[in-house]
Amino acid sequence: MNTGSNNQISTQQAIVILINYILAAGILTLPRTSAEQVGTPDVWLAVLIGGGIAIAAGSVMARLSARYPGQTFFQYSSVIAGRWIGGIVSLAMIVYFISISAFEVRTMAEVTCFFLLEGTPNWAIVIAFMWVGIYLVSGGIDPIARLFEIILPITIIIFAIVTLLSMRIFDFERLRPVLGLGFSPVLKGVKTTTLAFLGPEIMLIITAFMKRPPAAIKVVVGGVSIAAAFYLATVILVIGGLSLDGARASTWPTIDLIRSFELKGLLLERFDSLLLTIWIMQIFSTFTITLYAAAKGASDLFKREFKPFAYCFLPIIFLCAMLPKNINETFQLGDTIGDIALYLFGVVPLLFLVLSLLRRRKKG
Amino acid sequence: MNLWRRVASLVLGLTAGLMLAGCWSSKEIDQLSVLIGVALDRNESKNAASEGRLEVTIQTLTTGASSLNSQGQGQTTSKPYINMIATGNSVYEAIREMSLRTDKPPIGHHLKAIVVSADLAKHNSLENLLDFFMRDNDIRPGSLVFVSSGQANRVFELKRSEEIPSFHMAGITENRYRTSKILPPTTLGKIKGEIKGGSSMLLPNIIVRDGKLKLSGAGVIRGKTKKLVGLLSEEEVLGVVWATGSGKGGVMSAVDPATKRPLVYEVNSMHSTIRSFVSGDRVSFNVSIRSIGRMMENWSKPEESSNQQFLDDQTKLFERKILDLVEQTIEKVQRQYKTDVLGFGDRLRIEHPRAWERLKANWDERFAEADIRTDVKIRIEDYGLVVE
Amino acid sequence: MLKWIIAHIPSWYLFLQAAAVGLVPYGVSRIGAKLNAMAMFSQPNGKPRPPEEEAGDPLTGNFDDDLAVFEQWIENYADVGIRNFELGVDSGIKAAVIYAEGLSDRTVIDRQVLQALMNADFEASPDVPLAERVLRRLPVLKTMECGNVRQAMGQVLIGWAALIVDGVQGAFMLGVFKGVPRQMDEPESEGLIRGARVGFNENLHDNTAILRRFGENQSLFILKMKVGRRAKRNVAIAYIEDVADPAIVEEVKKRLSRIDLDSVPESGYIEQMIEDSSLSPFPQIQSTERPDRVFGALMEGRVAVLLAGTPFALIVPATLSMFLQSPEDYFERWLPGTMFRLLRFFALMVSLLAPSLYISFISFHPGLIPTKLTMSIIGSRVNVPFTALVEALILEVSIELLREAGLRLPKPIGPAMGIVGGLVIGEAAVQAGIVSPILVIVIAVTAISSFAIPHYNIGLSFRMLRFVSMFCAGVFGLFGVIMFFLALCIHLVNLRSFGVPYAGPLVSYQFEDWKDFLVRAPLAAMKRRPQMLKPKQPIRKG
Repeated sequence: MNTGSNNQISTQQAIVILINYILAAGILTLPRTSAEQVGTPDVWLAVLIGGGIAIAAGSVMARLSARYPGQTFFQYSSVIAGRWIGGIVSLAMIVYFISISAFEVRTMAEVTCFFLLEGTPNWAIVIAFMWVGIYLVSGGIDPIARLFEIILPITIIIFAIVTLLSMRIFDFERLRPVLGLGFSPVLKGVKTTTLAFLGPEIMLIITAFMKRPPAAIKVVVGGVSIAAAFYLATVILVIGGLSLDGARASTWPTIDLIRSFELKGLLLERFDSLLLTIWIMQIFSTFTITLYAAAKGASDLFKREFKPFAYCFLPIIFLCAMLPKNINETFQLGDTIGDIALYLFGVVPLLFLVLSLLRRRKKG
Repeated sequence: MNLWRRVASLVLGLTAGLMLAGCWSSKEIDQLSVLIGVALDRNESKNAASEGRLEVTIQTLTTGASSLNSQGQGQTTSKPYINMIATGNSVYEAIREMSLRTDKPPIGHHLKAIVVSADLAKHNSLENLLDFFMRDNDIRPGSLVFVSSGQANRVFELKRSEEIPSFHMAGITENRYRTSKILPPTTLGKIKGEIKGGSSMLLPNIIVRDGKLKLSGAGVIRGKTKKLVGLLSEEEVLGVVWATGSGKGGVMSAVDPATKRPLVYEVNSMHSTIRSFVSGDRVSFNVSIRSIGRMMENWSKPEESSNQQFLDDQTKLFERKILDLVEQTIEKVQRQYKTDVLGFGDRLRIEHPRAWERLKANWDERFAEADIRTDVKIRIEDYGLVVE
Repeated sequence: MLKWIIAHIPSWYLFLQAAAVGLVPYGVSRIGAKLNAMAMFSQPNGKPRPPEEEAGDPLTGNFDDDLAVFEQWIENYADVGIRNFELGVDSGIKAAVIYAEGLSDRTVIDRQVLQALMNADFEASPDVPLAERVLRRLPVLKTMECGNVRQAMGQVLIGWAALIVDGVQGAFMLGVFKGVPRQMDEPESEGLIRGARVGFNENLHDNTAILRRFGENQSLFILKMKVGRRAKRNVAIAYIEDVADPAIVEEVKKRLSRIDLDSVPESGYIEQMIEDSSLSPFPQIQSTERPDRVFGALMEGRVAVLLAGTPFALIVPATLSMFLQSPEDYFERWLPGTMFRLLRFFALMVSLLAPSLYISFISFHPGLIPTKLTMSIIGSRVNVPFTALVEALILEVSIELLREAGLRLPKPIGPAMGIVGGLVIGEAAVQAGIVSPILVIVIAVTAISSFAIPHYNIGLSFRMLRFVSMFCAGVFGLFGVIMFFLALCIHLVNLRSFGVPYAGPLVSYQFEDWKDFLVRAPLAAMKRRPQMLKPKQPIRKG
């Protein structure tokens, strides 16, 4: 066909992918998890700091990837660290992507089952979700980027409507005092909030498809900042609307917030359906991009075709998603993945970047 | 034709799967009964021990509720709702008991009001009583919670049968711009935060008078025990509303000492600032109330309504009246109930967070000893459409 | 640890489900790929059509032999006639005209062929070859020469007249077609309040002529090809040379040349043979009867394909947004234009999703609708024995039936049918308690919305998809609708029409193109041609 851009994405599209990846389960749970850790209304500060850390870590990854234009991490890791270490790290990342995608799927199933489809078995919801997902992923990065470009504006518009409406029960006093107990409670929450920003690791892969790889850092800064704005708004509105204790006591505080008020006289006086809609779409985007990342990683690592891996990973993700026996184990899975991610994407890329810089110096 | 056979088998398989699966959770809306109100009472019958301590009354919409029945053939079901009573040791148990009696399972999405009898709330923690409502996935945090000083399920029977009591209750709380005797709505979601945070609160008291609903005062819930400690009268609720500045409108009447005739002030806006001061373990508060409004009824000296001197005098009169009201109310909650329902603790948390950390453990005692000063300033902006 | 692992080993049916998760989409994708390959046997991967062997009896120049051959041929063509005559006055040169009744214009043959040749003086300049002399004396605009009978007969059968002359090898073919004039009325299917009252007709030349009449433009190129193996027809490719992306023009030519069909009765055949994906529910080529639409598309850098014998022209590449635009958007001022465009997008969403949302709210999520509405819906559904899905299907199918029946009915009865169907049956169904009045409203709004979509084509697609979305809602409620919507979007972003993304300019964001998408910016602001078409000259003006 006459377009050569089939497998290239623009800087805008990269930003959109990053935002869609970051926004996921966190929209519904972040207010609770962070409020539990922080314990004062300063949660929003922790979110800001978490975003900052994510930008820093993401920039390292973007910088690293920009040094190898046209190559994904799975291709250049062996160049930097040798076949074995590179291979092992790549494998770990593939496992990570698979497990995070399983986690997202499971969370989606839990919430859908709880709020929308009580009585439908989890597996049915998951299977329908995954089949639609594989339809997208099998098309490669270009349709993914385009679909995300449809999802993002819908998310922004609905999110804006829903949050503006929730201003009805917003009470500024609930956000005070600012730093009443000093800065230490905020620091306690930083780990949790940073984990909500899992996502910049996708730069290790999508930088390879960018038309202008040097813009990768811009992508990280832009993407994380916009996602941070979402999280910040969520946290502030939930705590201002439900109070800190209310947020702490709700399993899904954001849904609780939206369910707390009704607007009489409109066609829709209840807005949780809207919130759940965009949330399912966001989970969908996170699921597809992680599945894509895992399959792309495997195909680059083993130098095989991409599609068979995508199909193979589906049952694996399904099994992983069905493993947790209850909601606590699900949340635990999330926490474990987060812990692993801190090392895998906080420390490893930095080491690789240093190594890569040293190598060049040696050559030079 | 191998391909076509494969297509056919796939399509068959998928449709078969869909048919088998066929709408697991689908349940037509008319096959359900819509739960709109729940009242919790103590089971006072003789065999309460075996039946369970709770008596739960649920109110559901009947299907004939709609006037949409186009033929207009005079639906004889006069009441658009039914009440059902069940007993049990827990709320959920009792509600599920109802399934033995109706072909339409109740759904909680449209629950509007939860009424807890004062008697029950005195002896049971609200956290336990409302636990089911806070956990359930259907029931929305927007549902309103009331106490009732009488028997709770009596508020579900009104004289005028076409009126739905649960909706009516929810409707009354929306009149806050007409009278200041109504507290801000106490939704389940808000209560959840307060219960979990251990703060005290007021729940509006709903009663039946002459077969009609009436909001009358409020129940005081102590944060620590989450039990009801007492009731506030209508006047005291008015005092609470003025003290917290949470009113949206309403009137305040006073009697002119000179003529012994009433005067009425209508509130346009009401605002209260509570400042906290800490010295050591002693806490003191300053409540300053500001209001703007107009003179709406003058029985005393109608001919002087627009006289500035007269207005100034009346301003003083109203200020005095409000001050007395607020001080009495504060006195009552502080000395008698020893429960901080006015949000003084919250101000302390905001203004002196470290002191609050130290004092919050036994805040109710501290609050009972706190020194509270009140000042009131109002401004009469105009006097309606009559000029002398 | 071991205990934990053992406790977490999933049961066998989970493995079964896992296998299904992987295998089903794999199977579907394989089958889909094969079906697509089958459906697109001619393109884009198909081989070009093999050249046809041209055989036939050559025309020798011996009049009697040639005439005999022709007479042998026309035995089976009752509508072909032969007129023998002599050139000039007593020159003794025998000649004959072979013509098809009805296709050739008899008066032209009489006056410009027979009269001219019979009255001419063929003795005058014997040194000039006879063929040359005959041609000089023929006052006919279009002529060509033809070497064998088979070919000549082919031409005769589409309206040419063949002239054979004794001693001249081959035949003269004379363009003496009889037009079947039809008014270029405004097309009924695409009426407008404001705009030229002109539509294409069945004559290719008339159609290309209207395009020319839009203004003097040397770069409006019109190329001609023939399609159809047994019944060959002319097809014209129109584009603006210095605007259209040459890659697209080449692609159109390539795909047209690959069409291998017996006959091409209507441009719909061409459409189906050159579209990108025949499994897609969406039309990937726009067909229209309105010349202004075609011309507007040409100026944007698109390519038009006109087929002889049909008033429907094809425009490629098409994008989804095109189907929601109407020429009127540009003829009216930009504010109303924008408003109606937004309205149409809204109508599109309603016509696609309204019944499925009704189903999911009624039978899955009673908690998501207002309490008062719940009350009235319950009241109205008390006597309805069906589930929401069945109820909606009953009404939807009967509406589709009504619509289909209305098309077939003679014009004076059509509206009556609509009234009987819509009002009487609807009211009776409600009274009988088969459907609820609220659903009647929903379905009616859906139907009205689908009529607001300016293109019949795309309306059809969304009508089909509506049923799919209703089934999704019937199984999974709102979740099913969301999944359906996502799947639809995925399909849209995957779809391309002649290399141009079908979902453009929605994605990927081309903000410049958004001026002519959901809104219609003032003409002064639309300085560039749509970028997604990669026009040679991106600047429209200024």
